[in-house]
Amino acid sequence: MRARVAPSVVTAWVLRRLRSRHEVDAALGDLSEELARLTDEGRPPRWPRLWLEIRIWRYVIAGLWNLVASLDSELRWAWRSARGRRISGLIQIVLITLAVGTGAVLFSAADAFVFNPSPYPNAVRLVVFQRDSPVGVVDSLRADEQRELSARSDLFSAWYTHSMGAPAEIAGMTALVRTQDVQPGLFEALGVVPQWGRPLVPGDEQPGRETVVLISADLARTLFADPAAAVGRTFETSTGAMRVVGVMPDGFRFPTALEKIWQAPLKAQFPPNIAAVAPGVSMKAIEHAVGSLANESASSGRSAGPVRAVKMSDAEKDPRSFTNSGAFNASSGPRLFSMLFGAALCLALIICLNVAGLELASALERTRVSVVLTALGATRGALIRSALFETTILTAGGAILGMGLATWGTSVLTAALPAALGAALTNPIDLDLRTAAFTAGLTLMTAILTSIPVVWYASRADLANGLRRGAQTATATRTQQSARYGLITVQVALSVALLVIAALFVQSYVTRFDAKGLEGANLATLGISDLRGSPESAADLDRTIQAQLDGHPAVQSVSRTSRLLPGGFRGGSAQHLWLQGATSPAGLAAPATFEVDADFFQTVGLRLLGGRLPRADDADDQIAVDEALARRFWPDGKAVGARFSLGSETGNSPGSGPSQNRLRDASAGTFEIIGVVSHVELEAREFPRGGPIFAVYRLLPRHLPPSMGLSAGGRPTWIILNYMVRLSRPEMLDEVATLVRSTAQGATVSTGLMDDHYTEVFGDTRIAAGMTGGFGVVALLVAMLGLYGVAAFFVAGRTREIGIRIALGAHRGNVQRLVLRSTVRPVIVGTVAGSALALVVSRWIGGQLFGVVPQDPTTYALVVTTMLVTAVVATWWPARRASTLDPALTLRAE
Amino acid sequence: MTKQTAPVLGEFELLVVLAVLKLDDAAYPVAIADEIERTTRRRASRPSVLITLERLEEKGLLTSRYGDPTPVRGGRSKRFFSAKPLALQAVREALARITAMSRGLESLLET
Repeated sequence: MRARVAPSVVTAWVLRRLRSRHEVDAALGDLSEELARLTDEGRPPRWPRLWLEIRIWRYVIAGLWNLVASLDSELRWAWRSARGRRISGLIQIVLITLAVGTGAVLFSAADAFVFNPSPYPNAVRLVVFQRDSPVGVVDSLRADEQRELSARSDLFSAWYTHSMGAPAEIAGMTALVRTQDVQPGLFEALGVVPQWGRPLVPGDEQPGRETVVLISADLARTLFADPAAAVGRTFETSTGAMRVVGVMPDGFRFPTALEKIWQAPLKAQFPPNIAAVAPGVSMKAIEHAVGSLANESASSGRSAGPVRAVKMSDAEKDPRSFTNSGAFNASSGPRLFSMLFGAALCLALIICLNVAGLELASALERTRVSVVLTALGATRGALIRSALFETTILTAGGAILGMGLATWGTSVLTAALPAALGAALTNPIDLDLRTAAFTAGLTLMTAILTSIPVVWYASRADLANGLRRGAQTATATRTQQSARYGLITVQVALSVALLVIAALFVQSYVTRFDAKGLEGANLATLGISDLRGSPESAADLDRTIQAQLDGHPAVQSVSRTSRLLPGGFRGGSAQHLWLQGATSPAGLAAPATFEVDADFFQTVGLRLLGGRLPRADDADDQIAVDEALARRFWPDGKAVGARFSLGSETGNSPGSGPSQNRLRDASAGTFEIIGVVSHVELEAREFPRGGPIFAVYRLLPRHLPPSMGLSAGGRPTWIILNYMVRLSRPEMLDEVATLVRSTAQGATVSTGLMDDHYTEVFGDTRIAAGMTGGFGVVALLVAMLGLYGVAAFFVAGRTREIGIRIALGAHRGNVQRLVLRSTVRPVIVGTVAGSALALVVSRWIGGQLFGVVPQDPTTYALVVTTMLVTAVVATWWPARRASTLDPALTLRAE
Repeated sequence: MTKQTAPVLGEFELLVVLAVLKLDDAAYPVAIADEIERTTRRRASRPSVLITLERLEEKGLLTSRYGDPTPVRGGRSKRFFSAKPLALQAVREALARITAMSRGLESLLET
């Protein structure tokens, strides 16, 4: 039987594009004949299709090579011309390197956040329940809703629960390790099983001597070197011994990448919050059932937002799923990255315009060469091809260097990320396939954009006329001049916009970091949790520790507080604030209550702005508030002495917030402000409707009772002691921590420096400020180069004219002004347009700014001045050169 | 009219033109490759033969036409190549160059 050969669809398509039908047909005939002969000879190829494909592609590639070989002279010409550019070619490569490098870094960062792939294969068949709350989206299902939904066995096949466990302090490790209580079976439902050992099974939650746990692969490596050897081993933690029964695969996270230990809960403290969708049930049916539930609760007058069912795979893609670390401002994340991405593209565009300007200049300078080549028979197509090859050579050089820059940039960015945010990323910031594809696209865009002027010029310019002009007078025509002015105007406009945004972000970060309200340097936090025993023994421990710290040479002052700064509001809710005697609430406010001792204000460095500091003999309803609250509700500055209450919209119900965050004062119902202290930034975010989160300080005696949670029977379920410590030097923190650990044995001691906490809290602002600041500076330099190019080109093109002017008696100043004027128009028009653009864009980023309004006139003035100074500096050198021209020489030249 | 100068042929090009001249009416890529392999005992891949034939056609040494479809080849036609007078001139010049260069080396080259 004769073998019939047919190429694959792709190959056939390529062949048909490159060759005529007859040629393809004959070539395929040749191949089928050869295949038949090989078969006849008894040595047929093992994979005939592969055999055929390889032969066809050899044919195709050889054909392409022939094509390239036919362009040999044009390629050589382009290469020679590219090399001949010297400095301007180098500048071009550097610019393209910057565009490609910054673009790739930014894209890889955005990519790491956007394409954070879900590590759960079965997440599409699981749903979580979310509702909107004043603090953002929360995962929560009320007990009554859960009861109702779990009865629907037609919709849900299983229910699972998970909740945060107590962080574990592991012997030999400095950082606390987050744990999560997960119901046995949940990981199997997610589609992930331990890579080593077994999963959690019912019965693992039984209280025993040791807690049975699953651990992450990296924790297994840290503790036991080899994950496989970890199974069956036991390690000691502050909460008791833990026995490893399984190690999860690398890259697994649940619910964030920060949890490294998973254990079965002793008893279900929370109702199940993840449901498995029954086979054959559509998401629509689930949404419908949950939707009707939401309607019911809305009609019954409940104030919480309606609950909705969300596929776990979708919830996972949401940036909020890895924002539990608190390091990342969830709502601003996507916007922040799209904005940074825009900034990178903006910079790339500025660079493209600049390179295009350089290209245009070089095309004009080469007029004579082009004319001679045309006269010798070069076609217009050959001129364009050669110019394109030249651009391609320069762009390719820039792209290769740009990838090198990007490799370095991604490592710098990874190092600059807040630790918690970095750890939460399962898709690292690196140059993966997607980034490579993006970079290729960006390079192509750069190549196309930068070639436009050359192609335009070569296809339209009147080359024959060029011969008639002398080299010195081969000035640009009016259109060419306007093209260059247009390019530089857009560059200036984009640079101004980018600089304004950068300045706003930098100002915002600096203000924020400086105006966090306290002196962060040398201030440390010290938290002791998981204390066992009675409140009395905890109070004894408190006294011992305070005495120890007071006597320590490195400790300048120490203070007890109910909560540690920053933070303090998490889990809290906004309440309506009523001014005394008012008939309607004055507005929403988000309070965070700190019960502190008398040394607190001095230790933390809070300034008293009005009234007096709380004293030990104050009444329960006398409090100090933060300046932000005072300014908001008493703009006339008469906050001291005012009384207010917190409650719902319809009436006073002080203390209705969650237990850990309320102002416990049921007797009076109102509070009297005795002092106003400086505002402390407690959280990275602002409360959506309630303005900044403000602190309320109540003074309790020097040895205030330990903070604790009480069970229904009055027994303490948890006890914590928190201290703010002012050290003489930050390096002393480890020594202090060791001392406290030796005293509070068996408890979990966590420490941190305030500046580090704030670096984490303001992590996203810092990244934004750093990156836009960097882009802004680069954009300014590029624009400067562009302006220099315009002025230098102006001088080069009008040397003869300038010579005549000088010969006729023009002064130096006149000539300098003439050159300076060449860049005045694009700079002024560009600056105005850029400021307008910045006004529009900055409105959009207003939410990310702190302490500076998007329309801040000082910022605009500063940027405009910088741009004008830059323009003068860039033009100065060409102007000077022009004014020192010797008219005799310039006129004698051609 | 001035006489057209024949392009210089490479070694493989020379072999291909010789094969075309030898095969006369039956010169199509498969046959040419076979002829080269059989006579010279060197490997001649089909794609390289085909590409060389096309290059020679571009240089104006060969011309090609398509034959009738044959059932043996699954109903596909053959592309037959034939030499133009310039090819003959190029081959003559190439052989003359080789002969000229090897003159005086007879004793060395004889086996």
